[in-house]
Amino acid sequence: MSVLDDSIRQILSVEGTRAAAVIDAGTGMIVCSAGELDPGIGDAAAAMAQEARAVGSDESGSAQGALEEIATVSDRWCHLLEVLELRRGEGLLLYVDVDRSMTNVALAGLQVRKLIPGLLG
Amino acid sequence: MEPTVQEAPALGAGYDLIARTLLACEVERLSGVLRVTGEPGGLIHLTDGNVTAIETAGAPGPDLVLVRSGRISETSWAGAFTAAAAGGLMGSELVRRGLIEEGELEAVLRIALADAMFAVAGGRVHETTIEHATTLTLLPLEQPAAPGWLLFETSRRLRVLACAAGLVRHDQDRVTADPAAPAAGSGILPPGQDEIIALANGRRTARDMAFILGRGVYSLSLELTNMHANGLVNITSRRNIGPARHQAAPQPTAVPATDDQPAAKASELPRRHQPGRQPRSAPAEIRPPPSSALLRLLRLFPTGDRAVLAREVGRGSSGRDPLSTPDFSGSADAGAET
Repeated sequence: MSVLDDSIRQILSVEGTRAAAVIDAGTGMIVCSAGELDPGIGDAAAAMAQEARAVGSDESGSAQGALEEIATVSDRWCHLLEVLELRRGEGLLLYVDVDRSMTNVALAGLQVRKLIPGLLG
Repeated sequence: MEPTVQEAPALGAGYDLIARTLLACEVERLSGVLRVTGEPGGLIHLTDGNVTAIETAGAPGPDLVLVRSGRISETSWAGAFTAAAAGGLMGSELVRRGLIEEGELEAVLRIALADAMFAVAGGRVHETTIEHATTLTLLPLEQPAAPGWLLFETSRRLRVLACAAGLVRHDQDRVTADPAAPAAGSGILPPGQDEIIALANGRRTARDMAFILGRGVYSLSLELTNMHANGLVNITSRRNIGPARHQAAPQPTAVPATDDQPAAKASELPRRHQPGRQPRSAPAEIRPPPSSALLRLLRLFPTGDRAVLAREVGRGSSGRDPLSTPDFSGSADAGAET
């Protein structure tokens, strides 16, 4: 198993997490994934990457500030898109699918962000 | 969900040919090289039927992506390259020196691999040849990619571009910044688009820019297509990449020699005949002109050292020495502008 596959499986240890994937921000390609990904995740990942490119700034000191997270929430699920690395419109994003009936969304987001620093290591 | 090849739509004869061959290699668990002849063509390196690396002139390799994108400085790269040349692996050396994290390197390699496959399958494919001998590559994937995943991603990219409005073809369309577009460096456009505007001078395609910036060819095609649709760039000319295989003129074949007729080489051009002039016989030895730099260089060396020098010069002219440090100072820039 590759390092990246091993890391992404750690995200699934967060309670309520159904699936996780590392997405290439420049192309929307799913670099690696774990869990039960929705069949339409391919197109969704490309759309999310485009959204991140459109609103994301890679300069933490800029007036806009650096993009950290995009959350899409329904009454059943929450999709978190965490920025792992984003510069010049390219980089890596972490997609996490959270089941709202299983956990508190804010808590899940907090636990996911704690795991991010070691994700690419 | 594991992507399957059955989901990939028919995307041209070139893509279909590569897909069929790659899947056959996967079934056979082949280790070797799949040589794709065409424009740009490339070498697909396989281990047990899975893809470890792709070399092509159509997309920047992971080495260029790492250095030109600024992830790793040229000095650090050169140091790691020198150390790895002594017998180590380049990827492990980069990680050991703390220049990049292992997971990030794996992601970069997978992204570069998919980009190279897009460039090869999205171009002209004449034929594929399987070579069973394995060759070393600089940055292979330690966990090789399954052909199904790679083909699925390639078909997705080709499908996205086929449906895009204002498509900028990555290997053909040269773009110029629109006069009404914000100037490069004005800070109005996002950094990813700003650097494209700076390079959009009417002489570069998306592929050329990808080599200069160390970004993916597909990524730049998407960005340029969006910018074209929004009126930021215009397509000013189109690069001719030659006819497809089925339109190409039949290749001349070598004629076997007979007793009274010398062999005709397929690569020879027809000789020009002038009335009243006898054709000259070719000199026994082709000598460089007196002004040649090579001749001046040869004069500096004693006769005994010329054989060594000639070998070195021959190796330099025939191709890049695999052990030499790549030059990132702009050679690809010049080479990319075709």
